Amino acid sequence: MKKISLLSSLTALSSIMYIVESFIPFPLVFGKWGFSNSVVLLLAVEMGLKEASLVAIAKSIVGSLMVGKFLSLQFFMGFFGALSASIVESYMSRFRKFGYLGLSVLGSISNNFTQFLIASFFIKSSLIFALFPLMIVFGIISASANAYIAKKLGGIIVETDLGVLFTKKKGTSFKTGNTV
Amino acid sequence: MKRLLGKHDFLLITIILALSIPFIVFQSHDHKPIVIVMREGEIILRVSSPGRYDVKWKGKYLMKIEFDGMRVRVVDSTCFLKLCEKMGWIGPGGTIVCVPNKVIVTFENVEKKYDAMTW
Repeated sequence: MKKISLLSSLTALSSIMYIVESFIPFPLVFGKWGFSNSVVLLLAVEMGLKEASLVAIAKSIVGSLMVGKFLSLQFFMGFFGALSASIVESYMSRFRKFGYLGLSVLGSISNNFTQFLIASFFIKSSLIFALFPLMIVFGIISASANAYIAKKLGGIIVETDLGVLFTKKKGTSFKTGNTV
Repeated sequence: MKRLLGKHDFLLITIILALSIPFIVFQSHDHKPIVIVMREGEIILRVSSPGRYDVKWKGKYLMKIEFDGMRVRVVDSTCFLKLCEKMGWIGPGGTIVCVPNKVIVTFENVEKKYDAMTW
């Protein structure tokens, strides 16, 4: 029961981020910060594919319903983008090679690639991929911000001690806290 | 909890930057640029002399483009996000994409004679 309350409150947080981020300007006109993906990143790294993809699906649907873009092209791009990012992030986190930053960058690349793929199907031309290298470079900026937010968010969840995300070892003074 | 960053993360970012930056810097340059406007893969307008042109598809007005001989921009568009207008001027090798109108504004590659659709 604790898990479902955590997942639903994170979905709500992510949906709000989806709306609020549109007020923060991004250096690239067709780019977005994608702060809502930091929640998906946190869940993919710390919990697993099931939880991450569930929140990715839920936040796309709830977020687009609030903005009024449900079932539009933008919705499908965001939906499949977030889903692919959650799959890539949770799969790559199993190897224990990358930290939050690397996983966030990989997630942003897969997210962008999926979005470009859907857009190229829609306009029936692959010329849109000419913008892909530019999108990757700017994606690294937003991915770094997302990695930082995800790490902070994880720290806050540990601090408030919901007891869901990480099982604490008994008898050790293990203090993760809100540290980076 | 997983750490924020390590040496593998820096390595990954360096590799990604090294692979993608050359694509941005070394875009193809033609001597005589020709602007093409495409919708759903077919060319609907080809512009070689400077001026302002209306982009129409099956009689429906989609957007207005301006070509100054070297660069092109979208002046007016019927889509609601207006991202194509905000992209401003682009030179040869650049691309403006308007997803709501399914329109691509780009430059024709004269040197390489391949079909844009199979690219």
